[in-house]
Amino acid sequence: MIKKIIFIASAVILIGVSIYIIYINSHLKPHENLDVPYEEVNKGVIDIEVEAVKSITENISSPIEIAALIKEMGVPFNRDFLAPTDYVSNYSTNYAQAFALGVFSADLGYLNMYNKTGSVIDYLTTIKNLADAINVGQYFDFATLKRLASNSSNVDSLKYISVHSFNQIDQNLRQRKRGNLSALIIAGAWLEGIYITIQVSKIKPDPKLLEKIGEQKIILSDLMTLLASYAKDPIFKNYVNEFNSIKAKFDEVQITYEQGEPVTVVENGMMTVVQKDRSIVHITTQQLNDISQTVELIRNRLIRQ
Amino acid sequence: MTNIVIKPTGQISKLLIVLGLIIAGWVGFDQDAAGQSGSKLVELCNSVAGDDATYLKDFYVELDAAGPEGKAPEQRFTIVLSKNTEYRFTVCNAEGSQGKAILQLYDVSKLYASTYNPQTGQTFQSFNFQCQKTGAYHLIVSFLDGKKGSAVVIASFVRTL
Repeated sequence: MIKKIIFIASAVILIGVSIYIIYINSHLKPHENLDVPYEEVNKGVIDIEVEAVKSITENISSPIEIAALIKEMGVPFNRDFLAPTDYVSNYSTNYAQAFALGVFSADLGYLNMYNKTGSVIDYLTTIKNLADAINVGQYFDFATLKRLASNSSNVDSLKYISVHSFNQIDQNLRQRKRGNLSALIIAGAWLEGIYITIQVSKIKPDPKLLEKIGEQKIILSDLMTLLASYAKDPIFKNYVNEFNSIKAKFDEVQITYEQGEPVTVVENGMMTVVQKDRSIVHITTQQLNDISQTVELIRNRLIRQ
Repeated sequence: MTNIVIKPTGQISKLLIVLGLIIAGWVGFDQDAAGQSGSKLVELCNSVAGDDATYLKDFYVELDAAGPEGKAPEQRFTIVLSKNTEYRFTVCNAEGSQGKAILQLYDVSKLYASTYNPQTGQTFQSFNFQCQKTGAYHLIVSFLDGKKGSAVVIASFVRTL
């Protein structure tokens, strides 16, 4: 009789616990393991529609495009351009961790583009640790990436899984209403991308690179819209202020447009559309220097915080 | 000091194991099931995009059939494209999709490319876009004849121009 009572009581408790765990898993997962309390993280966040934010941020800046341009310039790989991983253990908030995750994603794109699979492991480990810290480590396929990085012939798969993992992290954060962290990842990737471009332009001031730097005015404008939506949070506001300082330098860059009708060519079954509209960047040496100095200052400050 | 030892009975042990499995199964399914099927389609479509293209982004689309008024539902995505860059956009229908996906690329108002030519009825699975104007572009996906369907669009980098 006593055994029966114990059994029934245990069953009731276990079922209750199960329901509770399932509820926590499906509803409260995004709140877990935040160094900054969730209430604090979301304090002052403007309730902008998910779709609206999404439309602003889809592929706002891809490390792949910038890394490809840099490689095409014929400038040799330079490890000094990359952010050091030494400061990672000092990051005390999820904001700093998310921002650094973005920075290292750009560095990973640069490493992958130069097939530097040997150096990739250190960055993969750092990225994995940061992803775990903000509770999205399960979307970063570290084991596969590490295996692929051990063989330089796997670089295409390495690129694909790296970028896909970041897309999944981004998607997950936004779906789980942690868009503020997603915004910081995007901001970190953008800042590191332009930082590397500036470093390369100092070695080889090719007009294409200078144009690439100048046209970031357009992308930064979209990025600022996204960041500003979280600016009521005092910790987040620091990032907004830093990026506003960069934006102020870009405000003086002029961009003009020429109109034209697209040309469509079909060759070997593949359709290619050649755009005849053009954006033209007008940037002076002084503007470039101001942008470079501000970007370097802020990038170095933010990765060491 | 007194050590308290809990000795579960055989029935309780079994119950614990069963419930543990149920919880583990539920948690795993909840988090990964939807993502995995989408990921497989993305992987497949990325291979369709070709070896000369580097994956940048994927967009999953799932639309209902057109309503009585006949207008085909559509889904819009915004993507920032950079000058002097050639991109490839590839669309792949999900297994079992009733409709065939049509992908169109616009800027603010101008249609640049479509995987479907209504004049000829010709369809393409991919198109390349040589971008000369940095900015936001819109990808609009709908299904032919307003059928219900699901598909994935892959945006890839081809080369710097």
